[in-house]
Formats: sequence, structure tokens, C-alpha cells
Amino acid sequence: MTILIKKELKSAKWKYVIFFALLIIMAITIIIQYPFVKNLLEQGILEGMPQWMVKGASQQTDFNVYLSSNWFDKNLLQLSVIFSILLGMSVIATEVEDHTIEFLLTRPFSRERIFFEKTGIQLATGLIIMILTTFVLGIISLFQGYEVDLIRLLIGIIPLFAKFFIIYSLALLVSLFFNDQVKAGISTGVILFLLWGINFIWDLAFVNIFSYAPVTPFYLHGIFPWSAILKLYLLAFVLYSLSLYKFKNKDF
Amino acid sequence: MEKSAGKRKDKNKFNNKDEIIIDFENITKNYGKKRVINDFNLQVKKGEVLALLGKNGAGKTTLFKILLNIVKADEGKIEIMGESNKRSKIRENISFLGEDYRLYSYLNAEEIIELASKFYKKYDKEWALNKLEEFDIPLNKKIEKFSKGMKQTVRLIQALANKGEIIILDEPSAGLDVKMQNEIITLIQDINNKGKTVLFSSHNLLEVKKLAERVAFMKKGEIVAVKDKSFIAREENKIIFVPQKKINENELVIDGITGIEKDGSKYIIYYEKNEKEIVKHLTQYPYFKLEYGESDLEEFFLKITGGDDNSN
Repeated sequence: MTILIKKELKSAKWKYVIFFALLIIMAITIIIQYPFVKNLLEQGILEGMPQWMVKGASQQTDFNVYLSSNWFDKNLLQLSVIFSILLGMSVIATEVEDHTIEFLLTRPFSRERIFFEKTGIQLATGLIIMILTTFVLGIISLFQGYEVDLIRLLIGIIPLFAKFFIIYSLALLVSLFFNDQVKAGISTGVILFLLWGINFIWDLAFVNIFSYAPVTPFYLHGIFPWSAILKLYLLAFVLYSLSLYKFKNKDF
Repeated sequence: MEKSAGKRKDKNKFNNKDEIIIDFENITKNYGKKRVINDFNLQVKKGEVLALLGKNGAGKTTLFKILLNIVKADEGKIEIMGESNKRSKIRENISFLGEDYRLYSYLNAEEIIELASKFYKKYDKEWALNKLEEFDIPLNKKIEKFSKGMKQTVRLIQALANKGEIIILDEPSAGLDVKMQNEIITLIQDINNKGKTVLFSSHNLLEVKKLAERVAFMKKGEIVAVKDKSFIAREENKIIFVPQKKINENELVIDGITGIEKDGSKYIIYYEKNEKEIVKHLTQYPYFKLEYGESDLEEFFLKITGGDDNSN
């Protein structure tokens, strides 16, 4: 392990610990809450509610529907968005704000190497945390006697990590323009909010990263959205490459 | 980057066979519409100590940043040890102390040395740790709890521990007290005595006088003059004397005076001893002005900076 990777792990260790701990708490909570939610649904709590709400929620009496929609399309997605912004906005901007970037740039390492090692370890750690917590979720579910497809559960991380990668790269790119992590974080949040809003107003679903390529249909029916996932990864690589270009050519 | 490499100006170029270790050719840098480095040319000889002297905003820090590739030049070319590309590889041979770079505040001094050592092949960790102890720097205390002077000492030592060929120091004594400044000057002299090239910036004239073999004066991003050791070392004591009446130069000469220059009605009197007697002797003549002159370096520096810098 190189010195930069060690340094990066050390400097962001609390972010990883909190991300991991929150996901584990949520995984356990989802499983514990299931009997309670199922009971409420079976008692007819949805009566009188709008049709669009009832349609989705009523299916959650099935454990796998409940598990996938709450984990992939809600808790894991939401926390991944928050942590990808937190990591992306700070990975370079913190060094600029703290005036430590010169320490790195004057070492005998190329800018590419600094960029790939700093961001690579964050992306890799994010992915590992997503895999580990999803695995824990699956294992606890099995121990509780629920039937879950562990492999399909883990494959479900592929589209979710693409979204993590996109938002991380977007926050990173914005931070390279602002040199300020708070401004970068807020700007990234505003961009995502606007895309979410546009999707609502004009029904442009593809611009809403949250609803695009949902994992639940794959998890339940096994139809893997290859094309959508490729588009997500393509967008992630474009944003990541733009960040690299900006970092390589930026005056610090 | 190499647009103007062919129209190099030769005013700062060596004509002898000294080995050139750093060669700035026509470097220009703009920040927006403001030109901060303007067609900068300078050659640094292997093994010499060269000071860049100029007031704040003269472009010294930007020039170092361009040299280290932290900032990209708009025009021109820099050759370091004969290479103009592969800057990351060349940095293996460069020890750099930047004026505004800071250390990771969540690490302690020992961890900083450990971190720095991992980047280089020729890093002398033992030397650095010993030096820190010599300078009474606590190894296990976090950097954030250090005073400004202690931080500067750690920054300097971690930079100097890389045993490369070139030492680049941007304001090395900034934030240090006089005692520490002298110790750091001795440290840099020791390193230079081992054949290393030192390029440093300062607006501390005392530091420049003690360390530099050549001084490049910078103003508004340009070199306005380069002076050698004989100029820097000229430290004769001077008295500027303007008598009310014309006096024969020979009448002014007493023991201790080494020379007299006449400039209109003004006499510049150089002396090496008997200062009190000389002043007493001069004051027997009615005069308009009698004052001590600056050394050549100070005088020249004040002349090019307009006298509004914080020089020591």
C-alpha cells in the first residue's frame, strides 16, 4: 500500500466509520421493522390512501420487495448520495483549503498518480462498505429465516455504485472549480435537486439519477438493466475524466 | 509552453563553462489580465547559492511554483538538470520549502518525517529526526499545537532531509526568531558545502548577505539585476557628508578612512575604523548633511523596491 493511500485512509477514516456504522444500523433496522410493517399493511392501513401510493406499498408485504425497495432504492441510495458528496467535495478541496496541496504536488509523484490514488482509495472504500453492509443485510435476513438471494443482492450494488461514482465525480469536479468544499457540496446538492425537479415537472426520468435504473426490478425479476447501467458508468467516467483533466491543468 | 523559447534574452546567461542546473527561459505567467512573471530568464549554476530578492508581490513565489509545476507557465521553458519534461521524476532531486504550504495538522512531527520519507529514494529520516531533537521539537506532539516558528522548523527540516541536488526555499526564515534564523542559515550553509545547489527567496537582507553567492533582484515579475558575491560582500562603512563650503578632499582624510568619493557637493567617505574620531573630525566643518550610508546591497535593494519593503 502506498504512502498516499495510507494517508488518505487516515485522513478520512471517520467518514468511512460513520458511513459503515449508519448502514449497519439501517440494515438491522430494516429487518427488525419488517414484521411490524407487514402487520400494519395486512391490517389495511393503506385504505383511503391515493392509488399510486397503495400500489407500491401494498407489495411490501413480500419480504424481498420490502428489503430491496428499502435498502437499494432508499437507505443505501440516500446514504451513498450523502457520503459520495462528502468524500468528493473534500478529497482535493481540503488539501487546497489547508494549504497542504503544495506538499503533495512538490513530491516526485505525477499529478495523475496523486489523483488516482487519492480518489481511487475513496471509491474503493465506498464500494467495499456497500458490499460489506449489503452482505451483512443478506446474512442477517437468512439468519432470521427469510428467503433471500444473496448473489442477486450483491449484484444489485453494481447500478448503485455507478450512482455513487457519478455523484462523487460531480462533487469532485465542482470542488476543483471552487477550491472550497462547502461551496462544492452545496452546488452538487443543488445540481442533483434541479435534476430531480426537472424529472418531476417534465417527466424526464432519465435525468433523475435517483429513479433511473432502480435495483428492485432486477432483484425481484432478475432482468439486469445492462444498457442503463452502461450509461450510468459512462457518465461517471466522463465526469471523472473531466475532474482528472481539471486537476492536471489547474494552478494551485 | 515553448512559444518563445527561440527569442531568449541573454542578459542573465552565463558565458563560462559552469554547469547549469536550472535554466529559466522566457518564462511568462498571467493571472487573468495581470502579468505576474514577465519574460523571466535566469540560469542557476550547480553548487551555488542564489537568492531571489524582491519585495512582496515581485513574483518570487509564483516563479518557484512554476519551477515545481504547481503553477503552469503561459510561455517559456524551464530545464532542470537538463530535463524540461518529466518534472515528477526530477522532483526526486529537489527539496522544496514553499512559503504558504502547510503540514498535515493531524500528524505529529515524527509522522510528518515518516510521511515525507516515503516519497523519496534518498531521504535521510535519521538525519531529520536528529535535527528535530537538536532544535527541541517534540516528536510526538501534533503539528496543530506547534508555534509558528516550530512549524517552520519542521517544514524546513522535512524538506532538507531529502538528499537531492537542488534545494529551493521560499522565505526559509519567515516566522523564526533571530537565534533560529542563524541556526537555519548555518544548516543551509552546511548543506551547500556538500555541493548542493540552493535557490532561495527572501526579503531578509541579513539572510541574503550571509548565504548568497549571487543575488537576482526581482521587480514586477522581472529580473532587474543580478549581482555577484563581490557586490554582496561590499560592506564598507560609509558616511555621506555635505559641507556648507567647498573643502579640499585631503583635509578630510584622517586615520581609518579608506577612500573618499566626491559627487557634486556630496562626499562619500569610506572607513574601516575610528568612526567616532572621523565624525568628530568632519563636524568641525559647517555642514548641511552628515549621515551613515547603507551598504551597497541595501542601497541597491531600496533603490529597486522604492524603499517600501520590510527588509531587515
